[in-house]
Amino acid sequence: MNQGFDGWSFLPNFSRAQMVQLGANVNLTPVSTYIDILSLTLAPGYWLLLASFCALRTDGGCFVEAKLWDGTTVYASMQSSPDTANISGQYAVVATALVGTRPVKLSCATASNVATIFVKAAIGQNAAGNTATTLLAIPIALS
Amino acid sequence: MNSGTNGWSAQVPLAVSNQQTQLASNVTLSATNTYQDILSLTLGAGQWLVMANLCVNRTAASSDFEAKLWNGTIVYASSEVTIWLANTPQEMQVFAIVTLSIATLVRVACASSNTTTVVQAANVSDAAGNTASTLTAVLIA
Repeated sequence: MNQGFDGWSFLPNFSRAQMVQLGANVNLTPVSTYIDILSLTLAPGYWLLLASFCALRTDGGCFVEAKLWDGTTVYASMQSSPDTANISGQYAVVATALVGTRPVKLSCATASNVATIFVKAAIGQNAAGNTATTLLAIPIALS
Repeated sequence: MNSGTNGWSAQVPLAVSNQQTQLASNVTLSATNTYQDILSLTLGAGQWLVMANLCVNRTAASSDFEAKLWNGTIVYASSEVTIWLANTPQEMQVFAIVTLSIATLVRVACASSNTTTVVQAANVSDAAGNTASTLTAVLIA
C-alpha cells in the first residue's frame, strides 16, 4: 500500500473520473429559471468539479448565469453579459465540493426575457462535434 | 480499498504526474477558418485531466475564435468566443478527461474567421510574462 502524507493512502491506477457533454442545444426559457444542462451521479465524497459551456444569443445582448449544484446546495456560480448579438461566449464554473447522493448538475439561466438564448452543444463555426459544453468530475477523496 | 484518515480514501496517484507548456511568442492565425495547433504535450498511457487556456485577440475588428483540444483526430472539447471590437482580448478555455492507451500527442488548436487574429503569449496590457496561453495535463489514473 502506498502511503501519502498525514496518513492518507493513495490509489494508483484507480479513478472514478467522469465526464459528460451536451448532445443538443438547450433553449434558456422561461426567463430567470435555471434549466438543468448536464448532470453526473457521483459517489459520495470530495470532488473537483469543472464545467464549461458555450452560450449565444442571436439577436441582442443578454445576461447568462450558471450554477454547479446538487439541486439544493450551490457549489459555484457565474454570470456574464455579452452585450451584443451573436457574441459567442465560453464560460466556466469550477468548485471542489463535498458531494452526497444527489446528482451534481450544471444549470443555466438568463435574466433576459427573450427566447433566443441557447446553451450550445457545438461551436458555431469550424465545427468540432458536440464538445462545446462539458461537465467533468475528478474524485479527490471518497468515503 | 486503501483507507485514509477519517475513513476517506484519496483518489490520486502517489506519484502525481503533470505536464505543462506555455506559448513563448504570439501565433498569428494566418489562414481563416483553419485550425492551427498552438500548444502540444506528449502524454503517456493513462487517464489525464487536460486543460488549456488561450488568450486571443484581433487588432483590426471583431472576430470569432474557436479552440479545440484534440489528438489530431478525436476532439475532446471545444470552445468559441467572439471579440466584437478590435484589441479586446478574450480568454478561451477547454478541458476534458482524456483516456489514452498509448503515448499520444495532445494538442490545443485555434481557428478564427478573420485575418489579423492572434493567439497571445502574453496579455496585451498589464503584462504578466509569457503565461497567457497554457496547456496543462495531470495524470489521474
